[in-house]
Amino acid sequence: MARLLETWISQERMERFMYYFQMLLNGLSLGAIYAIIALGFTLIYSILKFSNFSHGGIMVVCAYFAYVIQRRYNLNFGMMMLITAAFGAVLACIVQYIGFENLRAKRSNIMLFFVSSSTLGILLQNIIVITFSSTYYAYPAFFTPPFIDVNGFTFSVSDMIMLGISAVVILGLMFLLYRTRLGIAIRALSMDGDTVKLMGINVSVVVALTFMVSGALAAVAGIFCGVNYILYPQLNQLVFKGMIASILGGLGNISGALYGGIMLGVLEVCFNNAFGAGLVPVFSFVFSMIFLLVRPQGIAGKYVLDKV
Amino acid sequence: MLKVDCVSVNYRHVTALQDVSIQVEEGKIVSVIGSNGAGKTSLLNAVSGAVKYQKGQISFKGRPLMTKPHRIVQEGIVQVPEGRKIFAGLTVEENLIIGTINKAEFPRRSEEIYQLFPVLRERKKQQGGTLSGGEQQMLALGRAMMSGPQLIMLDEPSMGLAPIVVKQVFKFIKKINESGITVLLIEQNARQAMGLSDYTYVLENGRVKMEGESQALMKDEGVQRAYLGVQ
Repeated sequence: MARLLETWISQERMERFMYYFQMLLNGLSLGAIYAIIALGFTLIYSILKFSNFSHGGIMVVCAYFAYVIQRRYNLNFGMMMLITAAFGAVLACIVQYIGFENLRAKRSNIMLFFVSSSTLGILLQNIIVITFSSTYYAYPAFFTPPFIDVNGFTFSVSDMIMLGISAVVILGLMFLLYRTRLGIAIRALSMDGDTVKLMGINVSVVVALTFMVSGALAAVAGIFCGVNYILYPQLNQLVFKGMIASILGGLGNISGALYGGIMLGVLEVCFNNAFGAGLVPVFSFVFSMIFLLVRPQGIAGKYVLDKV
Repeated sequence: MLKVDCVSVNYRHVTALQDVSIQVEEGKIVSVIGSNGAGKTSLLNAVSGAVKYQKGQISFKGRPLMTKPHRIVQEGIVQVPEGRKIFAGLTVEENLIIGTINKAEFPRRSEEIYQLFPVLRERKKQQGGTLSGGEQQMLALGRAMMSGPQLIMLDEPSMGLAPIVVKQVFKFIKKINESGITVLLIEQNARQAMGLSDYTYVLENGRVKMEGESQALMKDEGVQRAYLGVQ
């Protein structure tokens, strides 16, 4: 018995375990970023039923905004995040006003919302290209030391901190959605916009506030992407990761976006270790296709049954 | 209290209402009856701001009514939409929260609603979609009452309910009216509606075809033949 136990927790097994554990942690921290992108994306999808590609544009602008204010005022990481989140909220509100307010008032076709959001996304990205050129920037190293050693295994401090912040942000969002009047109104709006109006709720205000929440999430995601990768204008394409995550989770489903994001992150890290970084997108897409063939409604999605 | 004056509603090329005038007096129950497509729901939607009317005027307590739906609710007119339209994914309590305009009034008003509909208290934490048809109708009534309305407009409250439940719902409507709230009732179930109401309008093809005291109208031969199934 004792010998069995000894072989069971042999050095080799321990190393194996730590290897997978580390992979899981990396996956979780990447997944948390995807989840935050997906949540911002899904919030808008759930109330207005269109894929908001301007979300990526907001992410990029916020990431650069954070860089600029950090440089100028030498802020610490937390302050930078808070100010950028506020900026993201305001920016999303402006985007909503320019891009969608009018379309909403006229009850336009969903296609027009989609076109408007893509256009705004490209516009925001190119504003960044014009002002900063398309070269790379990097945030200063916020965390020293960047890695910590535990029993010979290294953990990236920034990964752990981002994972922690993501958890706080996600819990905050859940609290907002499930425990506050605004959250209940947002959920009601996602179910039946016409009836919400009849209940005395000012839908325009709820929509604007939802965009602000989504913008703040975009800001957090933008900074995380900048820390995780590097700052460049094409960062907005990471919105597609958020889109895949929210589709995997079940489009328009808020908890689904969370699960989808984390699942995608963990899988990408696994694919990365198994097949190499170059093939990750291929395998992600193949996996998504197979997953959706098996479960077209996504992880948490429900078929909506409407009474005729 | 509510005065709809020569209102017309068009949906592109289709005319839903043409020069419709109705009047609802304070404290009364007024019903509007008519068959499918007569324009009953369009009339309610015009009042509640859900559709725009092209012609005419609507006034409430002597003043022209606002046009934005949420402002109209604040003025004291609330609509219980056709088919109940409960938020299926929200709990009973959350549905009531959605109906509240003034947050501070929630505890008092929800208590009133739970007193009136004890079954809703039992199902407080249950999702709205899991309630039975009758319970959903009660929730829809309760949700509308949360805004503390002076005029409540009911669109086909009997739709899809068993006859015995319909009776119950009408009893509640009577109760609501007795508590001082004016009721504008839209129904296909003409006999029930006229039995309950003080005054009735008959809508046909987007026009008011007849109107009168409900009791008198019930004795009208044309109404009997067209709406009460008397041979």
